[in-house]
Amino acid sequence: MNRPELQKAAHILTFVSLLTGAQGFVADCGGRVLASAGGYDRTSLPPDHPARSVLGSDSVYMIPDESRSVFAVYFPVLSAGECLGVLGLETECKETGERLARAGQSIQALADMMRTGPGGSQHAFVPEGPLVQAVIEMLDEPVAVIDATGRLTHLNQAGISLFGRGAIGEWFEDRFPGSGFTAAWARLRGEGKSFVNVDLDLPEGEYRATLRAARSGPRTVGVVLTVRPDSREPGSPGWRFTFDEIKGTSPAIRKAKEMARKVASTDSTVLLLGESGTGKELFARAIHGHSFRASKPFVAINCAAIPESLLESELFGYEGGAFTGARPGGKPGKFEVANGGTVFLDEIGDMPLVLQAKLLRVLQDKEVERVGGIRPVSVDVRVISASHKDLEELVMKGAFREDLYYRLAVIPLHIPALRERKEDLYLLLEHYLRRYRTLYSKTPKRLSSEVLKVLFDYDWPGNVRELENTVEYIVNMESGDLVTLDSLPPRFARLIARETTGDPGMSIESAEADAIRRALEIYGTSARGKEKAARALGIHRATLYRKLKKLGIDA
Amino acid sequence: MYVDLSELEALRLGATVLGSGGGGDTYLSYLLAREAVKKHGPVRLLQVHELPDDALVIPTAMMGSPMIMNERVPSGKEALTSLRTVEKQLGRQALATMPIEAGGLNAFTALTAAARGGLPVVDGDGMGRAFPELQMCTFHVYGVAGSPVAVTSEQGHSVVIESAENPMLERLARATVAGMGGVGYIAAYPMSGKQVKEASVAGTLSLGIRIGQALLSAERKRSHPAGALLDAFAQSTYGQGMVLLEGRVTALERQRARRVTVEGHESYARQTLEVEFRYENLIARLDGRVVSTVPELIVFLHYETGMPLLTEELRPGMRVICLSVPTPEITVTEEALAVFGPKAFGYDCEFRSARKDGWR
Repeated sequence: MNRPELQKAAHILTFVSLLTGAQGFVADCGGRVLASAGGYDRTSLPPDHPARSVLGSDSVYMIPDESRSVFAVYFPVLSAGECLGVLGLETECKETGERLARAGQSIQALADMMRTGPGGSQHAFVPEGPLVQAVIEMLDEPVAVIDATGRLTHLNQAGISLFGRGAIGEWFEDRFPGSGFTAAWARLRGEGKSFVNVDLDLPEGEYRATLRAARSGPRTVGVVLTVRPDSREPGSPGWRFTFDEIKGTSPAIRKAKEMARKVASTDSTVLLLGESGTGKELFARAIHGHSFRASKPFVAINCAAIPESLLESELFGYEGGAFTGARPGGKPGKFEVANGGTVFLDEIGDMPLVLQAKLLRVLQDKEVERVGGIRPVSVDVRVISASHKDLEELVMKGAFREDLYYRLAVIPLHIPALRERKEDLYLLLEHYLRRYRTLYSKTPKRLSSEVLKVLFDYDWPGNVRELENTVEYIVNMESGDLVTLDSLPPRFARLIARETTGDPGMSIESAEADAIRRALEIYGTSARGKEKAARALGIHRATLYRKLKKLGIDA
Repeated sequence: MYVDLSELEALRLGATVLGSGGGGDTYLSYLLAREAVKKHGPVRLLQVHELPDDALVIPTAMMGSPMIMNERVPSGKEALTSLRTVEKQLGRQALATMPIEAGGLNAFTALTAAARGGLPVVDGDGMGRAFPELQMCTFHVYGVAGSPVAVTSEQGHSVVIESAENPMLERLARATVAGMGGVGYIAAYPMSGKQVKEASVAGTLSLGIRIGQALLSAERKRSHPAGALLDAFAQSTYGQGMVLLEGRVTALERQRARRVTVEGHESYARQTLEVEFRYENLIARLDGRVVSTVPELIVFLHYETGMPLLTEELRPGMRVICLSVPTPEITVTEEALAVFGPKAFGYDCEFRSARKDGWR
């Protein structure tokens, strides 16, 4: 609000100058602090303050206020007959006060300048309040606008129901002491970040909130706070996932994160390639969180997890009556739900060819057609896809459309497997140990050298997801503070045996057993899984059953 | 990974941060390490899990007053002499050395010994920060015998001390150091690789280097140092720390209470932070409420330069940023807190972490 003008005026006149908003909150205050008038900053004008009588009027008010031994002039800042606030100049010196009174015209010009801005531009002092209010009312979640002093200036309807109407105009910390707001704001400022996710302890319960800084140059002029019911699940609606959540300092993961960060700001399609459990979805969420679509939905769908017959209606939606059992009103597909945001298509290699053609149309025309629909609906989404399969090979085999592949893989990004970044193993172990022992209220743990050796020797076919589950298992099983071999999950049995007996585990038989166990881990132990495992191992199903029996593998 | 000149430069800052206000000024020991690396080549950093279980590791450190160390300038070979003395006592050669204390100047003592002795350094230490006493380390907490300890003075005099009790060793070693003029260079807690894996704070030297690199890069890019520092910690076994307060030092009591008071600025206005320290910052109180205690790192950064500050560098009127960073799990077990938790320093309060949810 024209702070430089005000500062300049204060400097020239060596008075206290003060600018208030229409409600009498002091928006800015400059100049020498008078004993009697000090402390304007961060306050609302007292109810009996003479400047209040100018608010809402169009008259100039001048007063030798003897009770406060202050000589002052107050001018309304008017725009189209509406009083936007008060410009006041105060001094303790009687002579200066009289001179002030004589300089009325020039000061009114200054007040006019507040409204119009230097050079007469008409937009400098638009009443921001109603505009801000209109903007925040567009949002369904509770939103609070807080000024630089920590005072609530605006709440939307949802915000009013959460914080109460009376909170407007009050300092957040005073209204909700111990909520953790001040610490959160401190973090926002202290860490120089543009937003932070925090827990707020409000009387109604604990809420997950995002604080976004409003900056003008280096100065933080306020903060916008959005709240949603507490959800610990990172990635729940509105939770902004960042690359900080992906732990690791190895060159491999740093390279992946750096590249993902670079492409986040563009709108190109990204194809994430990596084994199962490497964190492809985390990368997709982080890319979304760092893109301009961050405030819009992130919708993930696993193409392999949904039956072929349902996938089409899941992705593109359907019209009422499109098929037996369809909802009468129809249902929007994931693309429509994600409009404006990001769609994450996991296991894209498992998408049937028919749907691939339809997906290609969506990517090219930016329109989706519901199943049974007549009119296409235009959508604006970014598509991030992922696969653990070699898509190029699928293209060569004819199982994946070449044109779609090139559409999706504008930016291919390789997510390293855990065994390619064993340097990070220790950090990840410690990270999850801390997470799960806190979650289950257990005591802190450290790893024995035998456990460390087994974990470092292990190949981690299930990658970080497997590691996380392993640590959760350990935290549940180990009651002491030193994690021993006994608290490792059974699948480590072979490595443990090697560790305890000194058997190098290099015989053909053990290698065979290892390969079979791995295959079963990947494909499962159901009859169908065993069939797939046998195919992957290049042996007949009957041979697999025979070997299972011979090697004593329990499956 | 190797520690070369640029890593040493970064470690100067990182070790000061890990020192949590103490650990002594790093400049002189940094110079000694730099000279050693220039002459003998970069030092290999061994990850804890790379050590064979039966390897012998002999940690090294400076003991005594950093101030006196600046007056009685060492040649740089003292810690290696102590290490060789312990080797002779044990009749075995060490595979590597490691710092007992990665916070402050002692991060460099082990590096100097390693460069001069052609040994690798284990990436880890026994404190994950700085502490005032020899037995305040995870080695002692998890049952490693400190004995035999060799102490060497800058004059080249060596003493070997043996005792089955680590606190007694600390007393005897300190008396020896006093006899040597106030500063000595020790080799102690000889350990097997297995013991190193189970009883040390892993990864602290490489973390110190990464922290330093983050601060230097923030300085170059003119981005916020506290943010860079917290990001570096978040990608480590320490985890996500937080800014406690930004403000101005309004009171500083060094004699009896040993307390610094900081009044918050701007968005921290109306908040007061009190930090109690001995050599290191130990307890942080925000508006009278304990928010973070030892062994958590409580670190002051200079507001204008973004550089970490020792408690002795704090001055009334100085603008500072105060951060708190959690420490690895191995330092906050019940046994560990009994040895270097707030009660071990005579405070009547439980260990408290600034981060409520601890892990995010």
